[in-house]
Amino acid sequence: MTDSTPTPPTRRRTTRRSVYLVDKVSTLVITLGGLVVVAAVLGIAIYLIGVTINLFRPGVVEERFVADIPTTHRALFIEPDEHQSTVLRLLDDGVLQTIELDTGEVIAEQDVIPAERTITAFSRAPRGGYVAFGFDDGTVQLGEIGFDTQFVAPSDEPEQLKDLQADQMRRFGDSVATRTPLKQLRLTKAKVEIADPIKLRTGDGAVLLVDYHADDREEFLVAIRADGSAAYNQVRKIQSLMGGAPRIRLREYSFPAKVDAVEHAPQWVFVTGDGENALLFWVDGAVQRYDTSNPDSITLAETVDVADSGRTVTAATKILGGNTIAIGDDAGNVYGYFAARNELADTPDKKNFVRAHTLASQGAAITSIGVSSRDRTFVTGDDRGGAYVRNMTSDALVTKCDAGSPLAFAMLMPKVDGVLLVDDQHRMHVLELDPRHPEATVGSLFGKVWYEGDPEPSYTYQSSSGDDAAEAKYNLVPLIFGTMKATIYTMLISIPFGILAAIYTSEFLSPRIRTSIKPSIEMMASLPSVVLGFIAAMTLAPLIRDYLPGILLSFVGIPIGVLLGAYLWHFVPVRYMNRATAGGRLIMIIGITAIAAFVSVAIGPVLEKTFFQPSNNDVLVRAGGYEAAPRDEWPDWVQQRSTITNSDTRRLRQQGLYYRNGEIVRPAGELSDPEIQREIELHEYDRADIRAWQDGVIGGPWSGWFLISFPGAAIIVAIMVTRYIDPRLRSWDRAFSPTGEAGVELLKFLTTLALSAVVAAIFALLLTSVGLDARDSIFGAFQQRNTLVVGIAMSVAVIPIIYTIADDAMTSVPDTLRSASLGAGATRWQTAVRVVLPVAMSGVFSACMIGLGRAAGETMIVLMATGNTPIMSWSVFDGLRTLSANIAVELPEAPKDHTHYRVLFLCGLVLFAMTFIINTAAEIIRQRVRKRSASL
Amino acid sequence: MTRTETSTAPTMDEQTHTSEAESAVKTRRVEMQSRDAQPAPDPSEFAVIDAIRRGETVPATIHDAVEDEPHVLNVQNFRLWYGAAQALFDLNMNIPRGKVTALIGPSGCGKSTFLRSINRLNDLIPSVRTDGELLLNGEPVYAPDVDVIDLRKRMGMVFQKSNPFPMSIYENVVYPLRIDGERRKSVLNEVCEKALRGAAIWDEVKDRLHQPGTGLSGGQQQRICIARAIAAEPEVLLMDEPCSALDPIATLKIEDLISEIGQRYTVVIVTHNMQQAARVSDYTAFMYLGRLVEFGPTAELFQNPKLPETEQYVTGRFG
Repeated sequence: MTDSTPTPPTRRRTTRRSVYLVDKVSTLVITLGGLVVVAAVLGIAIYLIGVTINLFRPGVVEERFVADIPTTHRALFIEPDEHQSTVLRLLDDGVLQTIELDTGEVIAEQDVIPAERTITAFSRAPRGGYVAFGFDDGTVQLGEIGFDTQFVAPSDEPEQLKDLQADQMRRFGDSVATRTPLKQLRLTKAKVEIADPIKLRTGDGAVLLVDYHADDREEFLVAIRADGSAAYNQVRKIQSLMGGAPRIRLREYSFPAKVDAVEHAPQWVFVTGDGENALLFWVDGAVQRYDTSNPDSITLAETVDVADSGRTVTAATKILGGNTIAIGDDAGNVYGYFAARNELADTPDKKNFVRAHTLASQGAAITSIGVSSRDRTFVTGDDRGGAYVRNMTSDALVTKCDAGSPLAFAMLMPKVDGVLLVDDQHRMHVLELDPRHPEATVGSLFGKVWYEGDPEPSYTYQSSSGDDAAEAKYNLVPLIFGTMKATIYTMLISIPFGILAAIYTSEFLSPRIRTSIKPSIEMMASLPSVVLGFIAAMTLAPLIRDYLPGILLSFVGIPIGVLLGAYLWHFVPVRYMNRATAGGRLIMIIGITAIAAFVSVAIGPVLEKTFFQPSNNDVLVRAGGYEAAPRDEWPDWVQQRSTITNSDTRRLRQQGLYYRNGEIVRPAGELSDPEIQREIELHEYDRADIRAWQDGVIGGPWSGWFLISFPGAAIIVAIMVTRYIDPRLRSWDRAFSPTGEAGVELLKFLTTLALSAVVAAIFALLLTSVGLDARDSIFGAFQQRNTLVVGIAMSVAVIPIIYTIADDAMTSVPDTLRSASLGAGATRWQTAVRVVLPVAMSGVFSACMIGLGRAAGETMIVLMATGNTPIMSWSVFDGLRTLSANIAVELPEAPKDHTHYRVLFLCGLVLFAMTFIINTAAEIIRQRVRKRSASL
Repeated sequence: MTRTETSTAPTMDEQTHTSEAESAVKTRRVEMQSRDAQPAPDPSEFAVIDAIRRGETVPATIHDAVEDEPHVLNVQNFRLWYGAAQALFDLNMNIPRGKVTALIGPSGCGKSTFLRSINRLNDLIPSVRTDGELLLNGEPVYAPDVDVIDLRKRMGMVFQKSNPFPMSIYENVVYPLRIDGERRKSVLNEVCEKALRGAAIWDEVKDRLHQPGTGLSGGQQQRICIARAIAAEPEVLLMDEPCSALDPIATLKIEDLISEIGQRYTVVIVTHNMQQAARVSDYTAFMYLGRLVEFGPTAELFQNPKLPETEQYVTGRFG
């Protein structure tokens, strides 16, 4: 046999060099590529951490030098300029000293107030250099004391300053000359503008206390005189055309302050930045708050005690913005107080002066509080020489330093880049400060913060506002919440749709149709999300607004319609049923769905009329037929509320009370009253209106609960029926003809629906009776750009992803399993659910997780379709703001390295961490699932 | 030469294992040798095969013994196409009730296709078209008003590759009842035990009924599949080369099991292994290129076939 076969040509049995080389090179390239990818991902994480870690690092303070600035007078204020070259010191004899910061030498002195006038009161605003003086003759003088900074052109530079090097400074006349790092010459000197004295009409005697608040919009002045009388003034400046200091006009409103100026005089007076409160502080902690929102009738709103028992208040200052007062006591405790809105306060202006911030104690009496003119950072100095730099919003202790001897003044450099302390020996301590990001702490970023004016601590995100005086609110919780909410609602829609679509195409559809349907669904995934967002915002949102009842109904109506169609299909004799092709069935299902959707939308208004019809009292009150309810009719729980929320309004209504225009009322009058009739007709108050129901204006919780619990009730009832009724039916349903059987099934289905309605009604009654209302959670007031819109629009992007991967997973399930199940007499659906889906579970799970990742990181759709309101509400009809949308919206307006900028990076990091955790958890679960079905 | 190799190779394996297997194999070997001794037939005697190859219709040779039995399946002029290609030609055969019928034939002769036509699993392939009639206990299988799902419930099927579902052994076995909505524990437990005993695997798995069925060995898995197939008391049990993916020991166990099941159920088994057909079946049908060639009692077909082609095939000289 071997003889006849020709010998094959000799074959080389060694591997060629080049093959080895290619192998080596490719190994190297692949390894390198892999490492680069890993390094890139890690690099992003590390970079994000690197940028955000700064938010949490404490501030740094370092002593630069000490200089003596001796004086025999008491200083009214000391203020450094923003370039840290000069310090102004105003002495109580009216002399303003310009002091060179580096040496402490006085380089200029000027009389701001003539020496013969006796200053009895003084105030200076934290920002803008606005000062007010009060005198023993009952006059006040207002003005500005600040810095005048000029840059000198190189050609105009004086000869003796030409040799000044960068960052050096030299005295030059009454100015201090400094050379900037950019080689410009800068001259800084004091700028003083004091208007003429104005005699206060109110009261008598010296001006005891004065406080002057001024900003770009309005100016207020409050003064207390020696006889205890008080005046609230609106200040008007008239700028003279001839130049010079503006003339000042006061519009004076005197008010009866309850002050015993002789025996028990107040120590401080403040007018808040909004001009609505005048606050009188006594050393023992007593505070009188006067409501000045209506200057014609100023009343004592409340008297509170701000000091802890046995403590005396030793320092009090307004924080930037002028609405929060920082106080320090003789034990070193520091608190922040402001007037917080409280709808049910017994004060006439519905506000309470509350201790909103409790800061770290420094253990020695606070002697001075210096506030920043840029943010809510402030420094507190004590009588042992300690100084704490703090932030009022976050309660953070930024850093602390020690001057060694009791402090007379503690203040921040204007750029918050230094601390200036003056001790009782008239020594000036200059410290360099890097506060980093005092408004951001773990507590303020992730915990509840009590923001200025708010009724209670809350999670609020409000990064930017008109000016620095507004409190920056960097709480990420609403954003994390928004991200989760958008993701959850999206997944609620897209998981069922994606998986059911995958089951349909992989198990039911003929391969021929599948090959054309699958790519077209996958194509949906490549739709740019900005297009989806645009369509959602411009088309979908108005559509949902206009057809809300119908669209809500279709969530239930379409499944019922399709099921009904399936039951009716059973009436078709088997011989015709068998003739239907897969394509024919597909067309039939599409038709049924379309009909069901159409019917749902068409009967939406009927549903609205049935469930959301206002009661007669609702109509009456809305049309103006009400009267104030006496306080003893109020339920107990209302007394404890600080605000009346929508949910409180609805609870009240269940007890027959209403809340209108800030007061609790009860219906009064007759519907037949022509006045009321006209109102009703004009505004259609008697029309059934689901949106009015959502807003809480009409109707009780029952109808909402009924609609929400219906699907759940239907599922429960259906399970009960298959579990307990079916086995009984089975024993005698062989007796029926196929048509009879179909009839029994249809009857069963309709009974299930009816039973579900009963169960849902009972369940809704139960929930209502325990005082729950869906409008507090998932069914709140309607916003046009809401989560339902986002959920639907984002699902369009997410469903194709879930579908594609799930379909692949299910298609790859071995056909032998399918055959085994079908061969045992299972239907396709049973096969899909009991055999294919469990085997493909790990793939289907991955599909959902990848979809989840997409939904969590999606930006454009949420950006365009949500309204970007960072609120925390589970309501389907409220907007939201996600982390990703927040970054996209705000990055352009966040200055580099600013707190806001780093907070946005933190948003990125949180998003990264969220997806990382989700994906890791998903992967672990998936591995488990896969291990279980690995042996197949 | 080829034949000797194929028949001895498994023999060696089996001999090293059990004495039971050894004795069975020895008997078989004697049979083989006796057949080897016969002279090679004249190729001109293959008239039927040649006719089939030419595409001519040749009536099948069906032994009288088959016709005398009561029948569970009547196949009448059954034809099947995959698209344009015809795979089964005018099958006419009656499968005896309560017996094991083996379908043998070279690869591609349509035995598996025929088997899958009985429970209409071929319907799943969109291009399949059929003609003629198949009656299961007198009721048509292919009539337009037949509910396929109900039809399949009357048969059990065991596949080439063991395919337990990714669920517990217990759930695997009671699956046919579960899909009918049976929930009564007592019924399920009884059926499960009975089926597992029937599949001769009860003792091996009775302590681990609630562990996944996929953790068992190949042979055990296949017996679980058999248990699943007989759990619903099928009128016909269809087996599609149930042993081809198993090792010899497991094969032997399954074969014993099939013989035993054959006492109680009608079994139609497709096999490539002639010895297996000889050992487990009462009747054997020899198919070739989509046509039935000869159908008769197994002993007769193997030892004294009416057609020389059948003899050539069962002795391994062609195919």
